[in-house]
This record gives sequence, structure tokens and C-alpha cells, in this order.
Amino acid sequence: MNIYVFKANVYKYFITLYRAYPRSFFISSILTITYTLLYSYILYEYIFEGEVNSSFIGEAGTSNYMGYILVGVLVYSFTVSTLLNVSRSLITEKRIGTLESVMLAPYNRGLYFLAYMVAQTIHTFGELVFAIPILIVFKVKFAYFDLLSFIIVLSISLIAFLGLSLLLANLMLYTRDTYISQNTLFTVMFLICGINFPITYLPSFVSKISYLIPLTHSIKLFRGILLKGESLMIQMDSVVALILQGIIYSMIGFLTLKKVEKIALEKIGG
Amino acid sequence: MNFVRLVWANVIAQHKNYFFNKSIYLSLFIWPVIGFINIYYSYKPFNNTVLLRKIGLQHDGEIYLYLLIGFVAMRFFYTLIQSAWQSSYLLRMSGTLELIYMSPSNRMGMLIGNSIASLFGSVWMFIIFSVGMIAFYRDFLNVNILSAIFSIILLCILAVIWGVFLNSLFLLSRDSGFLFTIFQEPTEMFTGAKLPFMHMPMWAKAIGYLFPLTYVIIVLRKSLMYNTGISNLLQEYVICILIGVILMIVSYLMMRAGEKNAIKNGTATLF
Repeated sequence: MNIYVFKANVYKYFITLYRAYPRSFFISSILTITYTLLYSYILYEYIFEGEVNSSFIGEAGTSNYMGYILVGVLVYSFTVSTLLNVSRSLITEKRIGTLESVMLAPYNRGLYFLAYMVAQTIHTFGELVFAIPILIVFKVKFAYFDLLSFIIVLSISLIAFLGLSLLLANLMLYTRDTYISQNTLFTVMFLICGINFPITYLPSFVSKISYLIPLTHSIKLFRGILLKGESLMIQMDSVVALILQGIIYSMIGFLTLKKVEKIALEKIGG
Repeated sequence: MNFVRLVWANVIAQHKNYFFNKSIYLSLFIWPVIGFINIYYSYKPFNNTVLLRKIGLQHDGEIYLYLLIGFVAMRFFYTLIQSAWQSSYLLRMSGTLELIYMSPSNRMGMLIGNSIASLFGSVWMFIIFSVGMIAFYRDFLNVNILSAIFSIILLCILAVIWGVFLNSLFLLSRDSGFLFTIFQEPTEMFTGAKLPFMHMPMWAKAIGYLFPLTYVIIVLRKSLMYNTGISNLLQEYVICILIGVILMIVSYLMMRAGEKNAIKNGTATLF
């Protein structure tokens, strides 16, 4: 087990974060969370006088609108951070000129990505600590909290997000673009994965597509265990879907990575 | 005459900088469309009659027309925020800023040119949205032609001035990415682009009153949906023009300050 690859990359991640971007990453994600919540809060409290309609209660299974939004926004911003940092790892190596040496080294790709994933998760949780005061400001209440289910949902979500990041990493490395691919994916995900409204509102073919994205299942599970007190047994279909997607996407990701790496190396000077 | 040539040269330069490949259309058209659909759905969990009563309208469809007008105006301004930010670092990185400072060309001309270029970039999007608006919501439009024309002209002019202001702001600081984050979201949130302005909480309105976009959205909605004539919008128009003049003066002063600072510290080519 080449555990040193893992350790070295986690270390490298934090050194880079600490020395090169001490503030900017942190501020932008907290701002996004705050603004999205603020928009929903004004809409709910001031424009619509604190009431949701019965169709929302039926579809969402709860009348706790702010709690519903908060779970959506937090899981979304968690996914975005993961996708951004894990998928951009290789193309960043390319930009700063280290891709060639990374490719020549006898390192384990799996551990390389896993290192980024773990470092990113620690980083995001560090940020989320600062989101706790936001909970109080927006008067969000979670009626149910079960630590064990929470940890299980978090772990399987992480595996699925890793798979999705690998796919995006391949796309980025292949097209050598990060701006268009990542922003298009994020805007689409924000719309169709049920972040600020139930996906049943969408046309049925769109909601079918949204079930192919792990974020949709992850948000559904988190809402189930935090807002509705549903056990994981009841939501077994989402659990299974999330695990399967994690495995399938990771496999496709690793298999295509080999090919994309070759192409990227050929074009390395261009 | 020289000034006009300079402005035009900058328009062409900026246009060539951004429209070099087709992916720009994704960010200029597809992203906004998705953005609007998202606003549309974010109103669905609520009881529309509450809002209709507040804004004095009758049909559900009118809410979405109301939001669409705010959204399109907001995109006009947003394109300028984005391009001001991009051009500020492109000018620095490519060393063009230093060349401009050394040349006898008018600096305001450069800023205005940068700003107009991005306006052209968003005009075609505006046309597509407008055609869509008329096609979908023609029953709900209640237009006062004269004040509508006046409001649309005002939208274009104020958007350019807003672009000039941001361009000059970005000349002051190298860390313009940060300013971009600060400016982008409040422009959407507090100007009433995504929410009915008059029914937002006091503190949010207080911030909104500082943005020229707020007034532009108000006059656009009133002239397109409530058939309000120019005489009833005079107050808003005067405020718009005043803000425009103030912004131009501030931009000029900031541009001068940015230039002095760059000359003194030699930071024009650093990014």
C-alpha cells in the first residue's frame, strides 16, 4: 500500500490552500450559502408571509421551508467544493507544469484522488462550522437528528461524489477547460437536483435525468434523516442508488482516465 | 472625433477578446435561461394570490412576466460586471494597461469602450428574451410605448455607466476577483430583480436604493406592465440620471487614482 502518496497529497493540498489562497475559496463558498438562504428567507418570510402552499407540503413531506432549503444548499455547496477541487487537481497540475512529473512517477491514481477527496472533505467541514451561526440567524430547526444515519449517508455520498468528480476530471483534462464545463454542470445541478424546490415540479424527463446525479439522492436522504425522521430502511432505494452510482461512476472514471491521461500527455506542450 | 475612434477601437478589441469561440454562447445564453427557470420554480412552493394582491396583478402568468423583466435588466448589468472583471485582469496581464497609460489616449474612452463592447454582447440576448416575452406573455403586457422606449434607453445608458464605474474600480485593485464576488449577488438580490422590491424588508431595500439597477427595473416594470406614462415616472427618471452623473464623476476620480497608484508603484502589469 503506497500510503505515502495519500499522505503527501493531503499535505500538499493544505500547504497550497494555506499559502496561496488563504481567504478567497473560503469566502466565496460561505457567501454563496448565505445569499441563497437570504433569497429564500426574504421570499418566504416577507413576500409570502411565512407560508408555503399545500402542494409543496405534499411533495416535500414537510412544511419546514427554511430547513428544506438549508439542507439542499449545504449538500449542494459540499458537492460543488468536492467536484471543484478533486476534478481540477490534474488540470491544475497541468497548468502549474507538474503534470508531466506526476505522470512519470509510479504513483497510485486511486490514492491520489482519494487524498484530494479527504483533504477537501476536511476543508469543507471546517467551512461548515462557520455556517452554524447562519442556522441561528435564519431560525432553522432540525426536528430529527440521528448521528449514525448521518455518518452513513455522508460516507456513501462521498463515494458517489468521488465518482462524479473523476468523470468531470476526465472531461476537464480532455477539453482543457474548467470554466465552461464546471459552471454549466453546477447551474444544471442547481436547477434539477431539488435544491430549492421539489424535483417533482420539473417535467418528468428532466426529473428522470436528475436521478442519474448522485446529488439528488444525497439531498433526499439528508432531508429524510434531518427533517422527516425517516430511517434509512425506509429510504433503502435511494441508499442503493447512491452506492451503485458511486461504484459505476468511479469505475468508468478510472477506466477512461488512463486514455485521457495519454491524450493530455501528447498535448502537454500545446 | 479622436474620442469616438478610441471608444470604437476598444469596443472591437474587447469583442475580439471574448467572442473567439462558441462556448461564450453557453455563458451568455444557456446559463441565464437556466437561471430564469430556477427563479420560476423557486416561486412554486408558495401561494401566488398573496403576491398578486401585493403587486396589484391578477394572473399567475403576470408574476412570471414581472420577474422576467427584472431578470433581463439584471442580466444586462451582470454582463458588465463580468466583463469589467475580465478586462481588468486581461489588460494587466497582457501589458496593455501600461501601454494605454503611456499613450496620449483618453482613459475614459478606454473605459467607455470596454463597457459598450459588453453591452453589444448582451443586446442579442435581450432581443431573444424580448421576443420570447412578447410571445408568451403578450396578453399580460400593458405597455406605454413612450415611457417604455425611454426606460429601455435608460437601461442601456445606465448599464454602460455601471460598466465604466466597475472598470474604474477594478483599476484600483489587483484583487478584483474578490470584488466580483461582493458585487454579483447583491445586484441580483437587493435590486428587486428576483424579488418584488417594494415588499422586501427595510434593510434590504436600503441596500437596493444604492444600485441604479433598482430604479431601472422599477421604471421598466411600470412602463411595460402597468401602462405608466412618463409624467408619473419623472421622479425615478431624475434619480436615474442623477446616479448616472455621480457614477461618471466617481469613475473618473477612481480611474485617476488607479493610474497614479499604478505609476507610483509600478503595478500596471502585475496581476
